[in-house]
Amino acid sequence: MLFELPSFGHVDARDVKEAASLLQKYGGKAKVIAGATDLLGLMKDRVEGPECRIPEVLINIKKIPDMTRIAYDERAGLRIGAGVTLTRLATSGVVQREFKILSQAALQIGTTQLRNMGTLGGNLCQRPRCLYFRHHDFRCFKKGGNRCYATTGEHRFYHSIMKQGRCVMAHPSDLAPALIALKAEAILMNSNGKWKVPLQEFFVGPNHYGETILNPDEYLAEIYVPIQSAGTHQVFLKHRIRHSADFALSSVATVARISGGVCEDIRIVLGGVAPFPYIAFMAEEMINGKRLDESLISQAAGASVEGAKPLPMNGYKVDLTKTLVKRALASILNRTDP
Amino acid sequence: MVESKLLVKGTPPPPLDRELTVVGKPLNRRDAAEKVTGQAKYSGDIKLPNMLYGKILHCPHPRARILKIDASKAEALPGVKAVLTMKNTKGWRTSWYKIPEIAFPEVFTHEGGEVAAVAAEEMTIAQKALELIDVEYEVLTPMLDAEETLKAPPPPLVGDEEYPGREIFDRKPFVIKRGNVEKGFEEADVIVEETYTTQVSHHGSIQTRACVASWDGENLTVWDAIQGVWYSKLALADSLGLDPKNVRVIVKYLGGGFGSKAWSHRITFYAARLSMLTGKPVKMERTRGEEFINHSRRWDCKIEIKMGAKKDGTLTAIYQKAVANMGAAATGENYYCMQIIWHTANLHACPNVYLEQIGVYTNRQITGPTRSPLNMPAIFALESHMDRMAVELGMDPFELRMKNYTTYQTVGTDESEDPTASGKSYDTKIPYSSKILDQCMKLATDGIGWERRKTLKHSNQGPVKRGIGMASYIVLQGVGLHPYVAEAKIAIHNDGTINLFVGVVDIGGGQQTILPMIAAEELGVGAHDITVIYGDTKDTPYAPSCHASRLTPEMGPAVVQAAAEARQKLFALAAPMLHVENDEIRSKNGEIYTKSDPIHSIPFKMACSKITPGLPIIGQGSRAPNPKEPMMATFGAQAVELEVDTETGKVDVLKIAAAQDFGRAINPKLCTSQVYGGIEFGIGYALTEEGLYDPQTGKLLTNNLHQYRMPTSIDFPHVDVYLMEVEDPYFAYSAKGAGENTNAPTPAAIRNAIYNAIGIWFNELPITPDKIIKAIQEKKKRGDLHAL
Amino acid sequence: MSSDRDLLVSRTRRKRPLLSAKADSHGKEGAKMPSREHRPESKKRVALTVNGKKVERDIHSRMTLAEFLREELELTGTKVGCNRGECGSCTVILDGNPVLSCTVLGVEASGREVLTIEGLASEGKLHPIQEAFVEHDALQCGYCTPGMIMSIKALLDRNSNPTDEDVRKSIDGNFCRCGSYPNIIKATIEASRKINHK
Repeated sequence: MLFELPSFGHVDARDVKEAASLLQKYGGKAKVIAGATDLLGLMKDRVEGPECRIPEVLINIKKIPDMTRIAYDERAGLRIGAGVTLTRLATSGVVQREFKILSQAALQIGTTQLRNMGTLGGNLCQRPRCLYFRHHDFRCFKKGGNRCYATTGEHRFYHSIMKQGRCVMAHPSDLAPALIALKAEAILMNSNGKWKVPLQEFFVGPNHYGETILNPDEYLAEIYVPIQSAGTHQVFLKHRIRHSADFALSSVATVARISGGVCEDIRIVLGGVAPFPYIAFMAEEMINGKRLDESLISQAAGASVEGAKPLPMNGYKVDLTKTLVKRALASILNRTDP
Repeated sequence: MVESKLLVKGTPPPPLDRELTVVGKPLNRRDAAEKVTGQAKYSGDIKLPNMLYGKILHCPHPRARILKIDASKAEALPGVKAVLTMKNTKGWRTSWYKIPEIAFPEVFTHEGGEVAAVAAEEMTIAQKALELIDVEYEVLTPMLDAEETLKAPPPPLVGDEEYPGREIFDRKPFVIKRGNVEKGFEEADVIVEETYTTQVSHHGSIQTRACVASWDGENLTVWDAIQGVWYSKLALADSLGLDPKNVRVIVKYLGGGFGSKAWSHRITFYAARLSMLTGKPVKMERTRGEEFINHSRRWDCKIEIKMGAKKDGTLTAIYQKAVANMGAAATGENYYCMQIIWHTANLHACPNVYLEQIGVYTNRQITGPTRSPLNMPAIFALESHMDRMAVELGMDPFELRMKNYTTYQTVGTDESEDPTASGKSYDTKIPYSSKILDQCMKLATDGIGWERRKTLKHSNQGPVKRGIGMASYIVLQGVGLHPYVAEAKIAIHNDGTINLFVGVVDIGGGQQTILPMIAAEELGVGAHDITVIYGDTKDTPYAPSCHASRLTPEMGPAVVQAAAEARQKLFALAAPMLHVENDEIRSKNGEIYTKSDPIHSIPFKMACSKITPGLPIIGQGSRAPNPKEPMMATFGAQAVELEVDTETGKVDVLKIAAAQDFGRAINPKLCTSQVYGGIEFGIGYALTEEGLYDPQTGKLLTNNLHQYRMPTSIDFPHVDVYLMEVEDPYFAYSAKGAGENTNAPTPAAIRNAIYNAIGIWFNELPITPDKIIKAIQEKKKRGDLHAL
Repeated sequence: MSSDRDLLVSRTRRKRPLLSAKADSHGKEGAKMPSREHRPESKKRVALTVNGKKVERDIHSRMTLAEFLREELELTGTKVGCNRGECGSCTVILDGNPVLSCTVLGVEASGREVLTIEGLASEGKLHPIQEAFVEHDALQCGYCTPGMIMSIKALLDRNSNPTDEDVRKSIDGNFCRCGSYPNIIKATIEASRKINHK
């Protein structure tokens, strides 16, 4: 089984500009390599198609200081390089103190070894877990084929209950909902320089070949997380089949600022249930400006999945997601972890 | 003197009439040091000079025919030394789980069938060569579902889809009868009917198949990943037209088998043939994806049970219909044509049964030995149904099982594999050689705290409910299997060296630790005074493949006989030194002594010095078949405590109490490890593991260790193990086999505990969160909320 | 509002064509994969420390660290059970952290320190973890064992007094199909006591 990787060139980028110029130089034939925990598996399995190319050059960003730093400023907030490993993120003192939802989410990703290798950027940019997407012999839409196999096939665990399009996969990232709930921003790089987008706009919908707005000559460089006010409550809940290794069947990230008992600003973001991290706007609107109580929590949980159109075999995710939203809000109400 | 019943050919040695000094000790595993230091060389670690690398091109379709194949570009690629296809291997058959299949068929009956094999100087060249082989397939409609295939008329078979044995087994009902089942149902006060379905499951051995074959012009040496070196040797010789004495198979370490490596895999034959063609060693190693797709699996089954009982719990009738999806092929050795219904016939006392088992050939993967192969579906269905019946009767499930406890059996082990035995009425009650299942059930339920069961689910008002459940089992494994051929040899040398020659593979069960313990006990020395020559067909006599929990019950008696014979010869030399007759002599702890005056003794080694140098004393042993009477089986029970989150469907198995009747544990430390291993399989089968297929193409989607969900360390509960002991004179020191029994009851015990917790029966495995959430939703819709 | 995800995205993105049944992103129907001849050939010199010894080799960039250890250095103690980072049998310690060597590129291990199973025992004497594994039968077939021990070693280097729960979590990425988990936990606790007493 050895030597399953195809041939490729490998280049160490020394700084963020060089990484961008290398991506441009190789014109869509190159990819950045960080933890490699998703990338190398896809390459070994030859997950490919006209819209899903196996890279011929890998650009290593792990030696770039900017990409692997965690910097905190009490006014500007947190800056995390996309190359920061999940373990470093989860165990960082400032993250555990000020942005604990990120630590909660990161610790539930994968396994010990995968967290030591996998990175923030990799977790956000990972490809779908759909069994058909990952199978060499099924050329689905995402790979440039002309159909989705999951809708008429196996879709119980890693597919969406809402906002499906030509593709019905569910976005598998745990960090994305947590970061979006913190109102994070993504810093993207290309050879012209860098620019910033709110993280929720980094992800695209189900009618696109990729899951992010990145063009082939662009990459995710950093994530900014703004300062969270005092009294902000942060909860991340994830439900999966086994107690380790698995991706979310459904996950909920909630960040709420409570002042004088009133919820002034709440973010509820769902993972594992839509093709992109899904902001439960209706639930948020229902809660903002009000006091949390059991009845409101119950209504908001229902509103969070309003409009869900599950596939024939994944309707259970609707109730599951409502439960997780309810529990996250209840823990904020009780000021304790669920 | 008590006559020995030990199952050996010729006269069995008399029982040892002293306390045991070696057997029963928790000695450390002999090969542990090599394994913990990384020095153990598994077949994939072997590297020979000038070695070539082999790769196989697999057919991606579950059912297809080759229209055209052209390997010329691959043959011409620099670095490629040989290519095999159907064009240059006509008439060649290899065996595949003992099925003599055409080496490179024209017609494929399961995904992953072999189209070509390539040997090249480097792995990357071999991979490139596969890409250069042009194949045109006619893709045929696969038959995937057993029930649907059974209902449809038999398809016109294409070319050589005919596997030997198909005509005997495909769609043929096999039946076990007892008494009069219609009358039995008439006598019943309560009748319960249910249907149970179990999933495709896989072995998940951490080592995939790998082999190195080396031909030197006359002799073939193979380092294989197989559970039986002798089986591999004979199969290779047969297929390649070689004299068996020129074939040697070596397996010193095996990274898990669980039945998947019980018989030869075709890659070994291809590697051997490529080595014979090129004159160089050839290594073939399978990827994990290949291991899933082109390998055997456990049958998926649908089992209907209808059971009748009197008000007091006495069972009066059982009707069963079991349909097993056999996949592309399964001959007698793999099919166990009555294995499901055998368990139903024998576990509980029931005077009237009509049990039917049908296997259906489909285009899923071949089926074969898989840790507790058809026992797992059988015991899951039966023990789930017993709890169902208990609830209908308003009876404690433990009491119901005790009420129907049987000290006899009517259907023998060999009959589960004998197609001609179908349709008989098995009315003769035959007692067991040993059985203490009742004590096991008592211990397991005591161990879990069974008395808490009634009130446990009410102990928490929140959404998380706790429950306790149990299941018992009988399995036919662990007492030896047809054809009962197992041999051992012992040589005692002048310098005191003792060699035990056993052609067995240690697959992780500790076979090379256990067998010398048996020999040491019989000889009266310490276990480490014995050197074991194993895992190699050179110099060892025939031994069975290490599967079906058969090693200890088959090799054990052979080893005892060999040791006893050698010992008696040594005693003949020692007698003059002690000035007594032979039959006055005993041995223990490295001393040979006189029975009447134990202080009057000489060291074992001193007696050895009387052996002629260069002419060691030889003792040989050979297993005899199991008799028709008494009946033999292994037994046990498990009780499980778990929690179910009724809102998320999460199941946390908190504790398992496992009590087993294996006769005696030769080495309790290693035996306990086997119990843990069974539970690892049992939990996965109950809650998380399933092979999933695309419904349209029939291709296996779960071809990796992420999507095929085996339990992690965090999923594994606390386990209390109780190893019971009971005399069984037919086996070496009463030791029956222990490899696979303990995964049989776990799924039913879990399912029954879930019912205790939330009042919902789950009859389909695995019990994943989506099924739990759905079932609770339906329960709420019906307005039936009492149990939650 | 994210109710119209496509519109929102088009505001911030450069060009990204929508999925269609026919065209691909290069406008050519059914464009073939680029041929491999035009990729840069990549062989690199790597210099790293393995089990305390410096090693230097020229290797292809496609070679994983597991392949480097097993094929180049003939350290076959590290096993490859799946080659996808899913089973944990290839676990080694890289700069103090347990990682899956099948998913680390050999060229990216250059300049770093690797500890494999072969580096634990010293001068023929078993490490306390290894001794405890033997004593508690924390292994059966042994194939997961090298990777398992490396995860345990990394745990004890970080936490010299772990609880059962700590041990369980530290091996959440090491699959043992033989079910040795209970004995592995017992062995680790004993090993931690032995190490603390030294």
